[in-house]
Amino acid sequence: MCGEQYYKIAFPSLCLVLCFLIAGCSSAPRLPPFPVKQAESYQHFLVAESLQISVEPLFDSQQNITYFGTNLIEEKILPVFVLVNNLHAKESLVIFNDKIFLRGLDNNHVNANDKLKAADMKQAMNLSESSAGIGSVPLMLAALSQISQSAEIRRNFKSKALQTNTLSAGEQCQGFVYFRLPEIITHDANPTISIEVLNLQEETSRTYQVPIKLKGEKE
Amino acid sequence: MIKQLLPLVLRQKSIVLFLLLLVLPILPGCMTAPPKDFVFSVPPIIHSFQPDISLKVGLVLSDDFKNAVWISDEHKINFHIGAVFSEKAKEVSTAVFSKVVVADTAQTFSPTAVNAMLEPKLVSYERSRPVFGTSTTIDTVVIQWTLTGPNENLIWVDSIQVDGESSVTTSEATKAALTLNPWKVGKQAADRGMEMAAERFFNDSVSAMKLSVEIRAFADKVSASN
Repeated sequence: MCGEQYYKIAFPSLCLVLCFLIAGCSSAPRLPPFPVKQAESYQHFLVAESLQISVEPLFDSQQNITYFGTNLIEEKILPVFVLVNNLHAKESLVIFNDKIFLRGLDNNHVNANDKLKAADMKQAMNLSESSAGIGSVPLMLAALSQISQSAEIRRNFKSKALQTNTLSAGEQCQGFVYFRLPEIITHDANPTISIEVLNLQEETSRTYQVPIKLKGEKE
Repeated sequence: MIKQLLPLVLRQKSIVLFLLLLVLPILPGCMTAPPKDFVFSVPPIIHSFQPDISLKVGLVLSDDFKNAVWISDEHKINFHIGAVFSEKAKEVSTAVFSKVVVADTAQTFSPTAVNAMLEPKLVSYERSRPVFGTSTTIDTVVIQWTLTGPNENLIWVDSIQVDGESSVTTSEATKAALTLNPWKVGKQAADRGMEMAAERFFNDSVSAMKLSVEIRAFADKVSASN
């Protein structure tokens, strides 16, 4: 092959390969925040003693992919969005993220110890760390891109979690709580999200139960 | 080096070589083996806050917090984040409270020695993984502050979540590829990201404490009883 012919073929091919590599292997984009709406407009809503609790379990696979970059339900992980409003005029409340439970899905309650750990998340991503060691450059970059995406999914997963916070009068907090779903969910299950709230002035705790409906159940 | 290579590239119209030169700067991030331990260099925060909450506070910096390490999955690097946030925790508390005493455990303080105990806890730290050296890395850190009274009664608790973003600039990446020292450039970028996260943590923590009605009410109660 003479020089001119070589460049006619090699140049566009190289450009194509480079474009493919750069487009396919750039860092994973940040996932969008879950939109916060009016408290009353969530699927499950409770008002009790100057406290508003809104709950929305994300059973929908498309929503899971949009906000978490992967379908968590397939991994038997249920993300539940929780919004708490303190409507008291003076009193402050504390919401502890480790005192929120999913109860009544199975015979066993899902408690804080069964909540998702980072290690489970890594498993859920189904990625091998050694995959980056593949010999060819395109494959190596593709593997790195996958790892990048996995790292972003993990980072996003943690950053969307509901944190422990003090809610002064009129304040609200929101975020996701993650639960490990049982393998079999019984049809007659009456699941509830149980939230323990501490009143700082009275130094007393009270647990609120918000019944939730399973996917496909009619309102 | 560029001066020597450029005429060669142009004379032979070697687009292949030229493109390779273009690719070189963006690959060093994934082609070098970094050291096992990563210690961030984050300077102290310069601020103009006045410690206007009149409380003598015992800042509890546990060994778990001070020595907190995040291990990256892909490179098995130990990121020493505890050292950074222990320093920031001291800076936060001295910017808010009139008197601060630092200790390793809450048991160090006798109930009468301080008005309250303040303890930070690292809830989570995650670091995104860019493919190319020039892509943006995000550090996300969540630290929970707990303020308890002399009888271990809870006064206030809050979780501060911050992001720090950093990327290697194209000129830095080129320099890294040419000098064959990409790790140094990568470290500078990582330090910048952590510095941003630490500064945001400082500002958000100071604001949260200064604006807390619960902390103010407790400080008023303490001054009234004295």
